[in-house]
Amino acid sequence: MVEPPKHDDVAADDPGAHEVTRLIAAWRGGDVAAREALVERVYANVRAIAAQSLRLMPGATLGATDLAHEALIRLLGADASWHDRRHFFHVAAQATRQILVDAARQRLAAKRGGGAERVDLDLAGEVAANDGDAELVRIDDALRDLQQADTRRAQMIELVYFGGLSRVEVAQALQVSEGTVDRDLRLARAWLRSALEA
Amino acid sequence: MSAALLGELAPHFERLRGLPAPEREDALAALALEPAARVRLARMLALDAQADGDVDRAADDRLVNVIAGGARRAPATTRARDGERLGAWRLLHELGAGGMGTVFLAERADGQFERRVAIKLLRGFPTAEAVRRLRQERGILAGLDHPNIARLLDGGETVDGQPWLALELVEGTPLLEHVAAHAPTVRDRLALFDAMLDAVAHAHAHLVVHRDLKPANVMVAADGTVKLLDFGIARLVEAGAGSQRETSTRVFSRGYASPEQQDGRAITTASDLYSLGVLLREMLTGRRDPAEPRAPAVPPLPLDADLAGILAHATEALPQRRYASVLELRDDLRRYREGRPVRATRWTRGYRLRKFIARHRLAVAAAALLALLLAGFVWRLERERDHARTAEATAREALRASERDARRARASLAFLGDAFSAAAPEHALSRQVSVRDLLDSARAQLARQDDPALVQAMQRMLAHLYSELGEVSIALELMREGLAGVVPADRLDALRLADDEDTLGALLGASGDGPGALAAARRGGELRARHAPDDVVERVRSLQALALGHHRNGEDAKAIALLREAQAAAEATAPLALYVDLAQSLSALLATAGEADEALAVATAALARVDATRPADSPERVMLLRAQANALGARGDPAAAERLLREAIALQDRVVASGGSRMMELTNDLALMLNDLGRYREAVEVLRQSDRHMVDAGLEGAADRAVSHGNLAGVLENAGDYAAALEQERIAIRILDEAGLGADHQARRRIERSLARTLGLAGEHTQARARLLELRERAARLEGVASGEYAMLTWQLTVLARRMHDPETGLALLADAERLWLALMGADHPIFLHLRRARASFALDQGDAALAETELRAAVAGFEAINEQPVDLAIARSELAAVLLQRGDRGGARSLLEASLPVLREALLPEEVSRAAAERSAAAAGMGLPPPAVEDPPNHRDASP
Repeated sequence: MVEPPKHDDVAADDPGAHEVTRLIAAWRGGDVAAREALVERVYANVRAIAAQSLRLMPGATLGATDLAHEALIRLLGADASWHDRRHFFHVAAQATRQILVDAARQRLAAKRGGGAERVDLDLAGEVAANDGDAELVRIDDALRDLQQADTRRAQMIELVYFGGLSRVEVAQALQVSEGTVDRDLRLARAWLRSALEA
Repeated sequence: MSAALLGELAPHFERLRGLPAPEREDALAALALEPAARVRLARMLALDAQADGDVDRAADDRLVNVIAGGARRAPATTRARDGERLGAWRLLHELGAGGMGTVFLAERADGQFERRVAIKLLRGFPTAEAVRRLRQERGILAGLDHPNIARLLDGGETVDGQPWLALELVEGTPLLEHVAAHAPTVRDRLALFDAMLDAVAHAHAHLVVHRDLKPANVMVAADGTVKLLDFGIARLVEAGAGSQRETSTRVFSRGYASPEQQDGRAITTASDLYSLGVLLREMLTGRRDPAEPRAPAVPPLPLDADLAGILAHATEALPQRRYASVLELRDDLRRYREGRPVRATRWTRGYRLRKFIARHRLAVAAAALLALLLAGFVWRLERERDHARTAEATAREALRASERDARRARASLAFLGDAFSAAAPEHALSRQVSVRDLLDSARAQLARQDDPALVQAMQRMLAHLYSELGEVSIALELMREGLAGVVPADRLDALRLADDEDTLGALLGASGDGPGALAAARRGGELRARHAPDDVVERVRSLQALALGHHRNGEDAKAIALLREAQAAAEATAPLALYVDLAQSLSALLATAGEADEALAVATAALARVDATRPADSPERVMLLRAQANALGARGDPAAAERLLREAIALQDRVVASGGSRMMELTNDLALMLNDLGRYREAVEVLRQSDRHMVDAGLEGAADRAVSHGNLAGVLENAGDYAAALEQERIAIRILDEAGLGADHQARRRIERSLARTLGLAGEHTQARARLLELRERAARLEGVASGEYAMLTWQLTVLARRMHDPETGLALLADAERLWLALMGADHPIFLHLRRARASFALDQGDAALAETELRAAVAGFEAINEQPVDLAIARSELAAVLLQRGDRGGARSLLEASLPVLREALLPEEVSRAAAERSAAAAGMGLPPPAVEDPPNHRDASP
């Protein structure tokens, strides 16, 4: 009855959804290499999705959360179990963060290096984009710090902000109570924001 | 350093954020911290307080904005699909891409007329089931017709299965840009917003929720017309993604989405209302939220207290505290524009709003179904009007009458609309609202109507709708009142009243009033005979109704004779659908009456007629194949029946729909047939499919779902897989618990009885006994000790005592059971043969093999005389064989076992208790093991996933 999840042509050279499910299963079984393979695949996908999703529709572009969700649908199919989703979102959130921050760093570097890359925005927009990129990099740095101090809270931030999980889902994903999620998120968010102001 | 710092600050943060501001200052000062750490902690607390502490409402925070900005600037390359053809459309070039997919400009590929549209390729690739749902949704959305809503014009799937939609192309300016350039005053902006509210209200009245209202989805055309884009598309995307309940596939825009939407809770019209509130704030102040740090999107205007109150009321966090409907918001804004007092401030959390929150809600599908029903109702009357237009002789009169009816129907719809808004303020007309709530409210509103003819017409219509919901008693009362003293105005009116009488008959039959049902059918027939004496089709309808009346009155022979007459009359003249309907009923009645051959002949003849006049894949075949299958089943040929049912299912899937209530019936039939064939494992699988169809058909009532699990348990128990059966029964009980159907609910008691029985079979005797005793107390309290339920439970206790080899308790229970059954049914009922089996067993426990033999011989003779229950007969024979063995009559035992074992081996799994006992006897009699199974050994353990 259940059809195998399809994947579209962006992922056409992908061995397909079953492969991803298998990787998740292997990772759940403790296979670290499987996790790396999974990250690589999700990374490629989030990039492809982001690439597709641009231009000409201000306000309607994909946010980080949408990227993770769309990557999920493409790679796992819409009917993936929550178990698989949960693991997937760990990876997707991380991959999304990596992609966005890498891109921001590259843009900043390009600016500093004289700007070989032309960004098709008006000047004001360019300045704003510049600020945004710098801030994104700072968020990443602050999150990295937080990761050193407190892995769980950092992961929560990643799941919420880059993975788009709700607090209920985060609680399930990290197997803690919703109350704990609330408390930890408040602390982590305040910590991060104050770090950004510093 | 920061690692240690966070660890140090965490407990302080946790404690201090709970304190009121002044105390917090003091507590902060009292902490022994480095100055830098203290500053950091103070800042964290301030930022936390600013975010209002609401973790899930973090949508608008700076982190989100920065990350979203980064996502927007991610590297871009777009693959062109220009020139590709989708349905009647050719893609010209890409317009953009969004969270839901990519948008293209397209034109008619056949060049028949010039039209440009926006084609949206939805993201993701849905499963077959999701595609079906998507098509359904698309049908509903295509019905939205409003000058301020961009229309859905067409849709389909690409060759590789990606869904697409063709939408009205709106060329204009995005809302906020337009506001900034052309709407300087509050009045200008409210006028734009008013048009948006009108559009949203229209959609809500069609039970469509936008789900993703935001500035990017509103355009203002060159002539100033506001157009809302993407109505309900978010829902289509979710439908296409195949999992409506998973929040992860939900589409919405943070910043505009209501808290319930962000949390993945039920989305209703109230969710749109919230988004509209945010949108209005942004239109007026340039910011979605007063604390938003970014530059305003439009020149900001100050808000006065009234406007601020209206915005606050529209964007309350709890849906039930917002305006009851978009119309109410619009009303309040109009009051504001006219300088009248607004209601927002007075609309405090009234109980009127709240009392509906906790109500049980029917599934989305049911609400959509209701919309279709209502639409169908109007359409039918309007079609009748069209027919009347073409009629010649009494054209003028008929036209007048039917126009009156069509008008009345539209008035009824409007009336229902009002009633619906009143039913559930916070979910007014939402797709989640309970159909029951709506109908209940409509019924209550009837009192306010003063045109008695309209009231009665409405009562009759509501009766039909309640009857669709299976609410027999309410429907019955309404139909009775709606028909009381009504005199038909003309022929058309009379014929419609005759149909209503038929429905009344069906309702009376369903509530057990056979004579009443028959009388209603007669009244309907008289109406038709008086007002349409020469109309053969109407006469056929009368015969059919009368036949069903007799059937409901328990007179199947008369019903069969009438249906034969009707079928003969229908042969030449009646529409094929009516003929097929008759054939189906006739075949079913004949099969029940034991006339399996004739039942088969009727269904086969009808099928031949359908095949002669309709294309090969005609949907009429489905129900006739089913009739054939049931006839074959009744004839004792379940294998052939199975083949036909599978054919019917395949056809239904191909030409009608892959789900729905009919599919549920078909799969349910197939499961029963497989059960009869002893293929329990497959029966279980098919029953599970049936269960899924039930859910898809919107029959999600807890009682239905629980019964479905109970059925599954029954098949599993038959198969001897007691563990799996127990699991299903426990699931059923949990479903009932969650729905709040308590211990006294009938469905709950039925499932608990099954559970106790299965426990007994599984060897959990003590637990089973305790449960049965408790159930029997409940039955005594609720139904009385003379009830069938009490007798059944006494009997179950007897059976259990037998299994526990407890003759003292058992014989007393047996005497009780016998007395109770005798009061309820005739002494020739097979239950008394089972009482003999039990008595024999207790006699054996007490060492009286002679008495056991006597009782079992009587039981065997009884089952032989009835000659209808081969398995029961085989069990009684095998039990008698065991007694004969014990008494040394090896030959007698062997011949009984030779007669009974093949039956038992075919019908029952080795684990089943009676078969297991018979096999032991066979071994003791030196008869050896059962022959190896030829096909498909019943390996039920594979059945559980």
